[in-house]
Amino acid sequence: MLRQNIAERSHWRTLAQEYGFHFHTMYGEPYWQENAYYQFTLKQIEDELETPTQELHQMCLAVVDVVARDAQWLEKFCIPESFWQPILDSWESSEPSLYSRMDFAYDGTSPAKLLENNGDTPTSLYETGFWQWLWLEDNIQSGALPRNSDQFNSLQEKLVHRFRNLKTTEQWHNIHFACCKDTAEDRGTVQYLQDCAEAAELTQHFSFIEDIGISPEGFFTDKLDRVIAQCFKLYPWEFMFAEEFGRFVPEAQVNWLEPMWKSIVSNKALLPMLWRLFPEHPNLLPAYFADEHHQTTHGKWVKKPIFSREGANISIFDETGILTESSGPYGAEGYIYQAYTPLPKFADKHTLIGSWLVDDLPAGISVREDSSEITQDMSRFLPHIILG
Amino acid sequence: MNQYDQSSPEPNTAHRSKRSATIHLPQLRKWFAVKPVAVGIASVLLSGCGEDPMEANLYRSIDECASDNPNYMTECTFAYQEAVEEAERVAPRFSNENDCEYEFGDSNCQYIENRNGSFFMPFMAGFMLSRFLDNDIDIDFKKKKKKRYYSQPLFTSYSRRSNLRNQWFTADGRSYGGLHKRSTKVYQSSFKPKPTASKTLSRGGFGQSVARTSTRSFGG
Repeated sequence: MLRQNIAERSHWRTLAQEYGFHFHTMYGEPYWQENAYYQFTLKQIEDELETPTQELHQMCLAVVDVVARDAQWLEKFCIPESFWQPILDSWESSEPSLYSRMDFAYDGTSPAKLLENNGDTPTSLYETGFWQWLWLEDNIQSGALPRNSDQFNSLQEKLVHRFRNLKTTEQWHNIHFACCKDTAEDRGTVQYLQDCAEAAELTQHFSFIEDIGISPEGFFTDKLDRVIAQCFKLYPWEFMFAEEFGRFVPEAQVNWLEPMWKSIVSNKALLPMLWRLFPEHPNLLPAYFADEHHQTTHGKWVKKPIFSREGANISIFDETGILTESSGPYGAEGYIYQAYTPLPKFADKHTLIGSWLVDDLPAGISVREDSSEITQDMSRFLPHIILG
Repeated sequence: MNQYDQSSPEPNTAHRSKRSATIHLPQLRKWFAVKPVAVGIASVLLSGCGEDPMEANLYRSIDECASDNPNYMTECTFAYQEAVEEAERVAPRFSNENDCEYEFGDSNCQYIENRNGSFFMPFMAGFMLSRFLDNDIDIDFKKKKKKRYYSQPLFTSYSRRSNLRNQWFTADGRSYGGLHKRSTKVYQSSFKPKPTASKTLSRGGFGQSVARTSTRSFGG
């Protein structure tokens, strides 16, 4: 695993314009960076990232199977009681899922450690599935990278295949895509998924989350009053549970992506649950619930809110007190503790690996760098290659 | 088609490539920023009058209307166009052509893409025009505020599966008899604007956490 410098493609900003990649720069800061890339060996990719991703995913499903059936655990996961039965129903009827992203601390030599699982609303999908793919193709064409360079990134292929599958085997005739207003990044992510659905010849519509309505029969509707029967929502389940229309969810007969059982996977309480069911697993870090605080009196620990996005409200502490913390709006519902593991540093940046799954198949990785130890939404995205 | 549609050859590599073999680039190319779906509100405002039944004509075309009202070619055109616009708003909507044709018959559906989105709907089969309100011979077509006529789109089905086959009907599903009919008695309320497709009681019940957290993205 190496960080290599490379010249930027001179026309990449024009290309970004052409393909509608509008969030490569955010708040005046570069988000997409291509003056360097990460280089992995095939062995690193397959043995150290792909295989553990697949295995960890199966372990997460085992957690869902335990938690969804047990009121005591559902309470610990801070899931409102009115959704316990709907979650179990969605799990027992095997409601299909679309995708997940696991975040790993991985330095190229020691086992990758799972930091968290973004099982509900992962982003940086477009940059991963398409944009870094295009970067590699361009650089191979121009001779800047060897012709046998490859990339762990079958994300787009698998997404299209998954939508085709939902159409043929799940009999989905159409699908609505929804995200919130006023975020170019989320809209871009959803547009990309719409393009993938389109490529799979699945009829698709778009609606903003805020525009979703409720009909007299208790169905959700879009702005044209079409009934929403299948819906991809880039909006966290825990928000939907708590909001006004949440009470209509159990009866609205929607096939959601992600399905409701994914609310257990995206929950930070997953981490102590994994450690409980699979203690000492090489790809897991010790993790505990808040009431197991006595386990954390020695060493360095990370305190994470049960519900949180993009590294908000995270603090790192040891015996002497809090060492680093990030601000944010989350944390009211409670915290979990996870053993601290340093993110590897390349060129003075902290590097985080995102490992993607489409349904239950590993589908590629993304690499993000941050100047802080806590990767937040101002991190930078770098492409990668496989060579050797 | 373009340089990326073929994956780069992999000389002497035994293993399968770990990346997407091809990506169809034209599908992802966007010259313009992503446009959110916006809603448009189009409605015909009617002045309130009594509920006396009135004569209404059923026309298949502008020509039929004009031959009935020889000096009103322009007005017939205007009424027709108004009905076409209204049809786009109120016609039954389908997300795919098959479902539409199932209800309305083969080749009787069109694809519409407007500011409200995209969908399939049946072709307008004709339009209903009520004439001579207040026994006023002059139809004042041009001044909208003093509009003395009402028009609305008519549909029909050619599908054997539909009980509205070869019947005139309005967007609310009300039938006005067989296609041979040229006129009917209607109440003015028949011309009240029809609701758009299905019904929604309220909106905005999702998305409330957004304002509270002011986080840029909800992804992770």
